[in-house]
Amino acid sequence: MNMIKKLGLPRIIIILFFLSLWVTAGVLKLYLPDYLTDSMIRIGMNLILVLAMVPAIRSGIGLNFALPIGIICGILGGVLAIEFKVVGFEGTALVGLGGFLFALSIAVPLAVVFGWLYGILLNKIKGSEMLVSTYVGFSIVSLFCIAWIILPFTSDEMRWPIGKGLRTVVSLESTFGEFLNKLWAIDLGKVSSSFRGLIIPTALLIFIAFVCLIYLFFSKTRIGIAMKTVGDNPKFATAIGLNVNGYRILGTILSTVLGAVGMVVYAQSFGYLQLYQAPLMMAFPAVAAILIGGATAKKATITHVVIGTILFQGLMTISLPVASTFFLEVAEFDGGNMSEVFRMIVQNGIILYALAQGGGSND
Amino acid sequence: MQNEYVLQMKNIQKEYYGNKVLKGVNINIKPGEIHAIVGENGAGKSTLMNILFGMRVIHDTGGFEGQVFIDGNEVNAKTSEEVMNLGVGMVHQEFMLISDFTIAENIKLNREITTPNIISKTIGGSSLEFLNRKQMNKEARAALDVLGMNISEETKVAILPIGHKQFVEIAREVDKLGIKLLVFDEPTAVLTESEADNLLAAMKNLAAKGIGILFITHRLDEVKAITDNITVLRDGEHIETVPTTDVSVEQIASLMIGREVSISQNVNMLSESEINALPTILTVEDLHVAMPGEEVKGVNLEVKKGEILGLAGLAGHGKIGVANGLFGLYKASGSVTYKGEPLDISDTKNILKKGIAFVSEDRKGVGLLLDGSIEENIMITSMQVKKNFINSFFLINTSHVRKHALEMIDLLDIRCTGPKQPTRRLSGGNQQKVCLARALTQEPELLFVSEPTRGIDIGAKKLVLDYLTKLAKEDGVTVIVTSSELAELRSVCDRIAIIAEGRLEGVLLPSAADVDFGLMMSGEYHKHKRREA
Amino acid sequence: MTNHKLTKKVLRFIIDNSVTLLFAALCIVGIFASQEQPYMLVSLLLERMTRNTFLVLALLIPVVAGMGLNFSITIGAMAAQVAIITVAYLQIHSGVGTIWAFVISTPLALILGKIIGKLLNKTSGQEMIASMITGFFADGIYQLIFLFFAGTIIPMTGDFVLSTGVGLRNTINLMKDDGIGKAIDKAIQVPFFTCLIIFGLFVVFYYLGVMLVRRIKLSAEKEHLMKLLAMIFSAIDVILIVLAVAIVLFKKSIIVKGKFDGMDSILIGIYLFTTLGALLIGYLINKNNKQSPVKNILIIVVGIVLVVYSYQVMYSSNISHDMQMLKTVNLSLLTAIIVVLFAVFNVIILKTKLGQVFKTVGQDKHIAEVSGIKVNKIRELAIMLSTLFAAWGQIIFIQNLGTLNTYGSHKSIALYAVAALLIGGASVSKATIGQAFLGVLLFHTLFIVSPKAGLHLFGDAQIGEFFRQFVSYGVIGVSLGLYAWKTMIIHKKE
Repeated sequence: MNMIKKLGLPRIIIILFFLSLWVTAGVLKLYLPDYLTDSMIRIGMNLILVLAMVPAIRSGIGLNFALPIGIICGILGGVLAIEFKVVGFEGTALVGLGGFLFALSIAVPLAVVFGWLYGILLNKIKGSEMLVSTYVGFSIVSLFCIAWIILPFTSDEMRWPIGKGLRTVVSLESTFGEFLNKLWAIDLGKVSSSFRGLIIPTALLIFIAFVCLIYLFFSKTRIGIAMKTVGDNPKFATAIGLNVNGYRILGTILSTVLGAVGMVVYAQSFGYLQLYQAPLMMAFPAVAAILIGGATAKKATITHVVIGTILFQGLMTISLPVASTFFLEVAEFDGGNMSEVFRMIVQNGIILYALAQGGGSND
Repeated sequence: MQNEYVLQMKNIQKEYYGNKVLKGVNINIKPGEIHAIVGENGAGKSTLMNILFGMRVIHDTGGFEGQVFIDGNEVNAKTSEEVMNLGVGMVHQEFMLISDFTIAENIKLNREITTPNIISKTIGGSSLEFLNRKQMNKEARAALDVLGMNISEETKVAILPIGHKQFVEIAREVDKLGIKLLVFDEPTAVLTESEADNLLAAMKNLAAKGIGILFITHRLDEVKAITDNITVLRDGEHIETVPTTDVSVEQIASLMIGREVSISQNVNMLSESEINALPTILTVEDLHVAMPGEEVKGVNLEVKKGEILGLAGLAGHGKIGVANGLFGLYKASGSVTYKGEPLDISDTKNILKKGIAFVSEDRKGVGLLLDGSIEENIMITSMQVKKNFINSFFLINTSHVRKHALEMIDLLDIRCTGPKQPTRRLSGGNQQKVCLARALTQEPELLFVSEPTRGIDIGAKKLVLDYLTKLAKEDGVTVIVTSSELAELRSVCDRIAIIAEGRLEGVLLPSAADVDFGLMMSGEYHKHKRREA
Repeated sequence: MTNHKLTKKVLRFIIDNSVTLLFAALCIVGIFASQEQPYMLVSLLLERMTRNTFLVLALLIPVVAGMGLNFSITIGAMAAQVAIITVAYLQIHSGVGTIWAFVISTPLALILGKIIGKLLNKTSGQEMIASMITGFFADGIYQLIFLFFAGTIIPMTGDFVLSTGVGLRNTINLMKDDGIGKAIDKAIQVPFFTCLIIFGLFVVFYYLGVMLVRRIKLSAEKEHLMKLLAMIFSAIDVILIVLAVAIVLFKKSIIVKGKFDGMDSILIGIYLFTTLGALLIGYLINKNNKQSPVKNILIIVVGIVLVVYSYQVMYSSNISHDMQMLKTVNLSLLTAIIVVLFAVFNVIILKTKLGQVFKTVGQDKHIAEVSGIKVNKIRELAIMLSTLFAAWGQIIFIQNLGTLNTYGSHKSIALYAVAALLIGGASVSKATIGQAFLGVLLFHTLFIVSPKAGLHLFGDAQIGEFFRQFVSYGVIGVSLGLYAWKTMIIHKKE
C-alpha cells in the first residue's frame, strides 16, 4: 500500500506494463536479442535529452518544455557539419569523430547563448515557467522552419534538388551517422549463437555514462550544491546569500546545453537529422521519461533519468512487435500507429499525473 | 427589548493537545454595547473568536467546554455560516473585497438581488436570473449611509483608500439582515489616524442603533475612548471585566502584562552602567523594511558588543522585520554601521562574510532545507560563504562535513537517527537546533535569532536559551533575540528594545516595571508620559 | 495641456493594444503583398469568420472564471466528431443529421467537461498547461478508439472502416449521400453586401440616435409615443426581412409561378425601416448615457463608409471588374445568426447571477469561498460549458468543411482559437466578444494571405505557411509571458 502511494498508480501501471510486455514477448517467442539491441540504442539515443531535465528541475524552473531550444542548437551543429563536410579520421575506426565533435563544438556555445537569454526570460515569469516554456519551444521550432528555407546552405546533400531550402530529412551517413552506435560495438552473436543479433553499442553507452558522470561531478561541487539549494528553497537560498536568479539561469543554460548535446547524440544514433516540424514535440517524451523514473517537477536525480529512460524506451521498443503479433491474429494491422498512440497515452498520462500531484501550487 | 444580552460566552475552556489556552472566560455583551477584549499575543483572543465562529480548528482539536448564547439561544455552531445566519458579523483584518467590483457589488457579494427572466423561468434556475443592479445599489447606499460614508456606491473598490475599504467591509455586515453583533478584529491596525477616528465614530453610530460590538485591539487609547466595558485576558485566563470608566490606561496595561510568578532573572545580567561601558558593534539608523505584515517604519538602534539584546513587540508591529531587513531579505533602507564600517544591507552574502548570522523565525520556509539532511543544512552557509568543506577537487568533502555535523549534534543535543536524517522528520525543537548549528558553523560575531522558542517543547526551549546565554557570556558573541515571549526575553536579555507600530518605542532593562512594558508594547508609553507631564 | 493629455492617451492606447495593432499592420502588409483577388479574400474570410468564431467564443467563460485559456476545447471538438461520425455512419441526412449531431454531442461534451474540470481543479495554478496536456492525452484515447477499437471492440463495418477491417478511414466525406456537410451553411444564402448595407445603416442611425439624446429632451408622453413607434418600425422591418429571406429561399418557385420581382422594393423598405427603428432605439436605450461624442462620431463615420462602399458594390456599375465580383459573395445567414446569438448569450450570461459568480471566482477564489460560493463546482461548470460550446462550434466548423479528417480536424482547434482570441487583444484574465470577433478577423486574414504573401515576397509559399504557424505559437507565448510577468510584478509588490 505504502509502495503504491510512494510510486503513484500511473508509475505502477507503467512498470507492470513494461514487465508484462517483455514477458509476453518471450511467451510469444519473439526474438528478444534484436529488441534488446534496439532498446539499448534507443536508451543511449534519448538518455541525454532526459538528463537535460535534471538541471532545470534542480534549479527550480521545473520541467523544461522548451527543450527544443537546445535541440535546435544541436540540429544546427549537425547541419553545419554536413555543410562543411566535416568527417574526420576517415579510413580509421574513428571515422565520424571529427564531424561529431564539430557538431558539438557548434551546438554547445550556441546553446550557452540561447540558454542564457532564455534563462533571463524565465526569471521574468516565475510561476508560469512550464506553460510559457512550452510555447517558447513551439515558437522557436516554427521560427526555424522558416530559417531552414531561407538560410543560404549550399550542400547538395541537404537541399531539395529543386525549389528552395533544406529537405525535411537529411542523412548523416557521410558525416557522423551511427558513429557512436558502431564504434567498439560488441557483437555477442560471435560469442554464442543464442545471442545472435545482440550487439552492445559500447561507445554510445560509454559516452552517455561519461556525460552523466560529468553532471554527477558538477552536482557535488559548491556551485552544483548552490544550484540545488536555489531550486529546493529559493527563500532559504536568498537567506544564505545565494544569487537565486543567477543560479536559475545557470540551470537553464545547462539544460539547454544538455539538450543540444542530446540532440547530436540522438541524430547520430538515428542516422538522420529531422528538420522543420520534427523537434516540435520532442520535449514531451523526455519530460515523460524522467517522470516515469520517479522524478517530480521539483525533484530529480540521475537515477530517475536512468530508470525512466530504460522503462520508457524499453516499453516503446517492445510494444510495437507485441501489439503487431497480438493484433495479427485479429486482422491485418498497422502496428506503427499503435505504438504511436500508445506512446501518446503513456507520455501525456504521466505528465498529467505529475501536474495533478503538484497541484495547488499557488499558495 | 428581546434579550438582555446579544452574546454570552460562559466559562469557555479550550485545550490544544493538552495545552490549556483558555481557562474559563466569560463574556457578556448587551445590545448597543461596545465591549473590548485586550491581551498580549497568545492571551487567547483569537481562540475565543474561533470558538464563537465555530471554526474547524476548534472541532478538529476536540471542541471546547462552556456555553455560547447568541440572543439568548444556546448555539453550538459547526460552521461560521451558521453563526453568521444568526446575526453575527465579522470585519476581517484582511479585506475580503474584490477590487474590480463596485462597492455595491462587494457589499452584495454572493447575496445579489436578482429579477427573473424568460430563461430562468423556463429552466427554473435562480442562478440564471438577471442582477437587479438598481436595487443592489439602493440597498448598498442605505448601508453606507448608516456608516456616514458619502462616496458613490458605484465606485470600483480598487481606487479606494484603505480606510474606505474597511468601511465597505463593515457596510457588507451592516447590510446583512438582522445583524446583532459585529466583531472587529484589530480594525484600526492598517488605518491612518483620521481614518481610525472615522471608524471609531462609525462604531459608536452602529452601537447607538442597538448593535453589540466586540472590539479586539491593542490600542488602549481607542479602548478608553469608545468602549463601555473591557475584558482583559492573559495567558488564557479571564483576568477581569471592568467598566471602561473605572480604569486608567496604565491600569489596563499592567493588567495585560502582570505576571503572578516573579520572573527568574538571569544572574549574569549586566547593569545599565556596565552596558554603557561596552563598545558599540552595530548602529542602525532610520531603518525602514518593507516586510509585508511586519513593516518597519524607522528604527534607530545601538547594539553593544557582547550583550544579549531583546527585540520585543506585538505581532505585526515590525519587530520581526528588523532582522529580516538588516539581512537583505526584504527591501530595506537606512544606514547601518558594523564595527565602525558602513554595512550594505542589500548584500546578504557580504553580511554573512562579515561574521553576522541569522536564525530566521520562519523555520520551515527560510530556516531549513526540509528535504535536505541534517549535515547538509548545517554545512551549507559556511560552505557557500566561506568555501569551507570543499576538497582540492572542488568537490564536497563529505568526511569533513560528517565529522562537523556529529560534533554539532553532540553539542546541541539534536535528537535524530543520524546526520543523514532529513530535517523534515525532526521535531520543532530539533529543527531549531539545526538552524542554530548552521549559524554557529559560520562562527559569527553577531548573531540574530528570531523567535527561537516558537513551537518547541520546554526541554528544548531551555537548552536553546541557555546556549544563547553561554554564547554571549563565554564566547563573546553579540546576540540579538527577537521574540514574542516577553517573559522569556526578560529572563535572558541584558536590554530589551520594544518595537511598536514599526518604530522603536524605547529600550528597557528586564527589571523595568510591568506597566512600562505594557504601555510600550501598546505604543502609548510616550503619549502617556507626555500627558502625565 | 490638453494636447499633452491627448498624446498620453494615444500612447496608452497603442501600448494597451500593441498586439492587436501589430497584427492589423501585418494584415494590411500581407493583403498588399499577396495581391489576392478581393472576391477571394472577402469570401474566404467570411466563410472563416462564420465557421471559426463560435469556437473562439467557447473560450470566454473559463477566462471569466479565472481558469485562463482553456486549451482542452480540443476535447469538446472530439466529442463533436464522435457525434458526427455516429450520424454519418447511421446515414442520418443533412438537417436532421445536423440536429442529431448537436443532440448526441451535448451529453458527451458535458460528461467530458465534468471530468476535465475535476482534473483541472487538482492542478490549481497550472490549469492552462494541464488543459493542454489533457487535450494531448485525450487525443491518444480518441485515436485508440477509432484506430483500433472501431471494427474490433466497436462493431463497425462498411465504407468508413479501413480495408483491414480495423480502424476508421482518415477522411470521411460529409457531402456525399446528402450528409451533414454544409447543412447549416447552405440553409439560407443571402448577398453579403446587402447585409452589410443593412448592418451599416443600423449602426449609423443607432449612434445618431445616441447623439440626439444630448440635444433633445422629450416629455414623458412623447417618449411613450416614440417607444410605440420604435416597436412598430422594428416589427415592420423584421417582417420585411423575413419576407425577403423567404423569397431568397423559395425564389425558384416564385419566379416560375408568378414572375415575382418585387425584391428591390422590399429591400428599400428594409433600408428605410432599419434606419427609422435604429434611430429611435439608439435614442431610447441610451437615454441616461453620457458618453463622449468623439467615439460615437468615429463609429458613425466608419458606418457611413461601410454603407457607401457596400452600396457601390451592389448597385454601381462603373467600378472595376474585381469589385463587381464582390456582388456575388454570399453570407450563410443561418450560421451567422447562430454565431451572433451565441455571442449575445455570452454577454447576457454575464449579467446573470451565475455570471456574477463566475466573475467573483475569477477575481479571487479565496474571497469567493469565504462568501459561500462553491468554487470548485463553479470552475467545473465553467469548463463543462466551454467543452459543450466547443463541441457545438466544432459541428459548425466541420459541416462547413464538408469533410471530416478523422484524426486531424480537432488537433489545432485550441491553438488557432486561442491565438485568434489573443490577437484580438484578450489576455489570460480578460476577454470580450468584441476581442473574439476582431481576433478571428485579423488572424484569419493573416491565414489567408500569408502563403501568397510569402510567395510574392520570398518566392516560396511555404514560408508564409510556416510564418502563420510561428505567429500562432508566438502570439500565445508572448501573451502568456507578458501576463506571467505582470502577475509576478504585482505579486512582488504585495
